[in-house]
Amino acid sequence: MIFNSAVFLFFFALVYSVYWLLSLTSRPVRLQNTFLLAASWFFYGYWDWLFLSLLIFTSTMDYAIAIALERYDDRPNIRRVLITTSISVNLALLGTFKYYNFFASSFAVAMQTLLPGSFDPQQHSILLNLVLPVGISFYTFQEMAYTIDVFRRSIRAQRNFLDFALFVGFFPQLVAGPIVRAVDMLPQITKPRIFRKEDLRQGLWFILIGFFMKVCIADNLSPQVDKVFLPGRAIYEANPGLAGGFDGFQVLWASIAFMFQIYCDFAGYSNIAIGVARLMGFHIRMNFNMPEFAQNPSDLWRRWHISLSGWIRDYVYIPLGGSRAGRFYTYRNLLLAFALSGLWHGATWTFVLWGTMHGIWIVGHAIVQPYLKGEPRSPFARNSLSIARMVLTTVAMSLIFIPFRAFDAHHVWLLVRSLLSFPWEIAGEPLGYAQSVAVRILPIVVLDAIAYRSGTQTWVLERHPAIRATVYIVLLFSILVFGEFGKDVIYFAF
Amino acid sequence: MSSTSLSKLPLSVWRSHPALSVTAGFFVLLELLLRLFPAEYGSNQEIFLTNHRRKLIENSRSCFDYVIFGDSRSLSIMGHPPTEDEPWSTYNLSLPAIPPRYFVHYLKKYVDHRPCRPSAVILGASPAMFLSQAMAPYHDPRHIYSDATDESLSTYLWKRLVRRPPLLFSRIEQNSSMQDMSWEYFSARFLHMFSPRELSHQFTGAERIFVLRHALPLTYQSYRYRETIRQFSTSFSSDNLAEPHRPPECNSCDSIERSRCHPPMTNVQSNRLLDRHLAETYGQINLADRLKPEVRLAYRSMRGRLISGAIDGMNQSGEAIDLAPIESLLHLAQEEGIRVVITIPPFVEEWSQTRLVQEFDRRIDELAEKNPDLRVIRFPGPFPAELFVEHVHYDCQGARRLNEEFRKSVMPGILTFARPKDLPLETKRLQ
Repeated sequence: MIFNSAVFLFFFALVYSVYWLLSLTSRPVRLQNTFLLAASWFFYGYWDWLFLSLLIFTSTMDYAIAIALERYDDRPNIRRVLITTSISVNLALLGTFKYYNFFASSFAVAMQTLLPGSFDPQQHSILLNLVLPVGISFYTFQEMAYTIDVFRRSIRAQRNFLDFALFVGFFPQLVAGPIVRAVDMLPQITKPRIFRKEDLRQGLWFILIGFFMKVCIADNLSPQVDKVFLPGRAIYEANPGLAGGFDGFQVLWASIAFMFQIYCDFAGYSNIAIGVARLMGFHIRMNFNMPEFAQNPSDLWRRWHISLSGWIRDYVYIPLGGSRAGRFYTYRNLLLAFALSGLWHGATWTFVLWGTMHGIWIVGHAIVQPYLKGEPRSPFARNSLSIARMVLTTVAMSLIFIPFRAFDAHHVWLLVRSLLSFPWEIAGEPLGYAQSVAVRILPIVVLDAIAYRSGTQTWVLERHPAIRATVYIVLLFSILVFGEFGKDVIYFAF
Repeated sequence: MSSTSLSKLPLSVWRSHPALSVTAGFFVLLELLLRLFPAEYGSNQEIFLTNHRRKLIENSRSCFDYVIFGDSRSLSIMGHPPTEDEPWSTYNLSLPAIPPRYFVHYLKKYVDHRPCRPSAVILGASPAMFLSQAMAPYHDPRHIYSDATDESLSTYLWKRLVRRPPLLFSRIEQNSSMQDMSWEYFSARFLHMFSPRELSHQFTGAERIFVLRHALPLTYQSYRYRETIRQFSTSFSSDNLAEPHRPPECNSCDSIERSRCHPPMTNVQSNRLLDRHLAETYGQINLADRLKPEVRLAYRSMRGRLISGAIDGMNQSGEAIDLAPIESLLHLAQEEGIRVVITIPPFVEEWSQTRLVQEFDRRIDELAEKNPDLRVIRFPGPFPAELFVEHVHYDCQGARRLNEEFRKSVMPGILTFARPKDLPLETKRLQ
């Protein structure tokens, strides 16, 4: 079930009521955790009970491995075998369900290219057409982070299986993140949660802003994006000329629209997850922090999909050496980390290209940055420069999103060719298209700008009641009137 | 607590949460406004028409001798107000994209709200609507788990959770957009005609839960008529409230074809005109008359391709024709002392010899032979393609000919088969 559906509304109303009623019992933590675990497994099993068993299997395995890591604390060889097992099994499952077809089809293409006629994938049935279990990219990463942290002795192993299983399968963040860390989440699970009015206020605010971002902004931007990027692969393959027939100005604005679509889709869902968790007394870290106000690519990745970029930093980039082994290796590590981030998002070469392009951008910025020091003196010039950096960073990120959305490398090429075909037509239909996109992204830019200036995403809760009422009415009214309901979250596909 | 402090409690709650109070007050006021005023006028034509029919059935006490049930094609048949020479009445209650399963519930709603019964239900049938695929369960249109619409919830859950197809290696996914495809096509007719309580009696098992899941949010009028709110909040002007004007020459096909008479841009204006038209024609609408000129042109340019493209499918369709909806309707009609007449608005000539049409003809004739309260009365013959705006719907000239033939060829048979009890024996022959 998805958050923006009536089924979830009924589900959560029931879960929330029972959850807080259980806090009045003599064993609130135990009963609440058990109930939440059952609800989380029901939530996941509602989609498919078969893959629920996969979730339970990996939870059981990593629970046992973490305890074993502590038991064999003085046996480094055994510990290495254990951690290798945890990482291997998790990656094997992820690799099989998510990447098998990718590598198999790439292998088949390579064989056909190198030795034509030697290999027919249809005859060899090399492709399995496996269904991707929802959330597998998120919970496997979450579990690997846990066992690695136990291996590093950063945290203690969780002894209670139900609590650990709840950490892995906690329904608000199970299917589309944020990827939570055991060091943040497990203490909250094992301690009593107290009903706080402030949690209620903040939780409801996050849910409200999340729904607004998802059903009003993201789902209304989707048709605009489809006009240029095309709604489906079948249409693209049937009309290749159509894909390359747009003006560069339109392609630019379609890229910007897609960047905001994916931001609002994913951040909206994350905000709902954070809000739902907050209503139950759990504090999950923000996953997005107004990325359109990033000043440069490094700043961007401190604001975009924070939980994944943090994971890649802590468990890939730093173990590779991070920035400690000289410039060449720093740049290599950055490129590898971002290429992996691209691969995490999807099993196609366009995703790898997307990630690599981000890596190149960050490396380029790292190279150039020492020569760009010095800020203007006047506040006006400083602010203007800051805004210019934000705009350039957003535009650059939008353009890099082209391979993320395109269907294949040829589609990428067609769109890039349109971008590079000057002069652009900044009038007529392309201008009208730009205006329709701008109107749709303006509300989120305004809301984020207020949050940026206020320094907090819960800025509205500190305002005068009249302002709060106005904001609530505008957001709820927009959701009611302009919201699109029932559409899936883009990141479910990852 | 004392009674005084108890009575002040609600006020103190509101005062301590002023922002929430104002917000709640705004939406309560909005909801009240939408309940007090005819909000359906701001909806699109399809929603407006369904609500118009619903209000007519629920609120009007008019007694009609005949009612027409059917889809967008039979919607082109004119109703008939009683006149001195022809003292019977016919009201067209057809709705576009209406699934056959709907008819029995539609009739039940009609008879439940009236002390009087029509002499006959005239069912305008389209054979393709009776193919089994068109009657797949709404919660599982591709029969991944469910075989029938009346499957119990426990059976469905058993199939879905235990005895399931190999989802692991299959591309069949429980994608909500695929589930809702047929539902999206038909749902407005159900959700805007029937209350959740009525729907709960019409469906069973998993399908009932699926339908109620969609129906319950519509009890909140602000959500039900959000298109109205959107219209008024984004493009409100005094034109919305002005009396809509339709030039008198717009009764001629020539004017309609020459694009002088397409409906106004706003829903309110268009629906007000439609309301007036429905009163004049006793429920008839020829949908093609309301098309924008460029859309009509586009359809005409595709007409030949659409006609020829459907023939193979109509000849080779391996799916069975399912007349269970007609049998259900007939059963209810018989209980209420109402007869049923089936008439098939003419198709293009190219389709009349297809297997689907011929098989449908044979099956309904077979059904009529077994049921004395059912009669099949046919139009004289198919129409040439030029009388259609695309491949199934009549243009203005086609609708004129349809009504002429209905009056001359079909209505006399209906009057003979199901004569209203209070109709004088001697009436003038239909001209």
